[in-house]
Amino acid sequence: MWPRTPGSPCYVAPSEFEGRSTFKTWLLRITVNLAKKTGTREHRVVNVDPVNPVSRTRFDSVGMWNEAPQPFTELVEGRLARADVVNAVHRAIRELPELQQAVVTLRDVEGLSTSDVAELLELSDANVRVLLHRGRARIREVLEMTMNRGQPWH
Amino acid sequence: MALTKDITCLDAVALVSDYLEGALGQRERRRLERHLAHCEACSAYLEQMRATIAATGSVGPDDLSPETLEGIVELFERYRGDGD
Repeated sequence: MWPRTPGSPCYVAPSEFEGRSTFKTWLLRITVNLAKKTGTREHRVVNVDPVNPVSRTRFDSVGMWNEAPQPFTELVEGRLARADVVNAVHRAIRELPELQQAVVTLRDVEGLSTSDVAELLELSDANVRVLLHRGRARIREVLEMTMNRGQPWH
Repeated sequence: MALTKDITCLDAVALVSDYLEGALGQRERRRLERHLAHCEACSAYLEQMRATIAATGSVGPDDLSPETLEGIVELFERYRGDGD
């Protein structure tokens, strides 16, 4: 079931995985290896052009919100079913471009520091922050949609 | 950097992730905080982002569904070969 073919970009020695490594470590290494591979293929060019974290259509012509975002009360107060939170976060992460996936996973799921993520992925701290910003914005959007779905007036 | 004193909501949301990372310069941070002090909508956005990061952090490998695992394996498969 597990992708462990020798010579593959994400290869992790079975003895290491089956022995002392935890599943989390294995997953972490796959993420890093995958991101490195992706980065190599793309010559590690990170597009740093400004990207609106929220759709431009939600703002008026002078850059003010058309309709204020609603607090994530259900999420913060734990009233949103855990399965819904997990599914939304996973779905959002899976749909991100690979380097954003790697950065979000390492920084926000695994809790590594920005500089450690930068070092692991061979990116600058600034590039890590750009990727993180985009990835988080997308996860926020998916969580917002998840919560809105639960409200009949939306 | 523009010399305008106040930033728009559109500018503010672009700074939120870096703000939470503690990565904004003093001047930018002050501009954002000044905006947040009188903008309920952007303050709500900031709180949404905090909640998003907390939710992302609460998702551990134990929560991975078979579907997600399948996705990771698929992602891997795409990079394993040179074909496709």
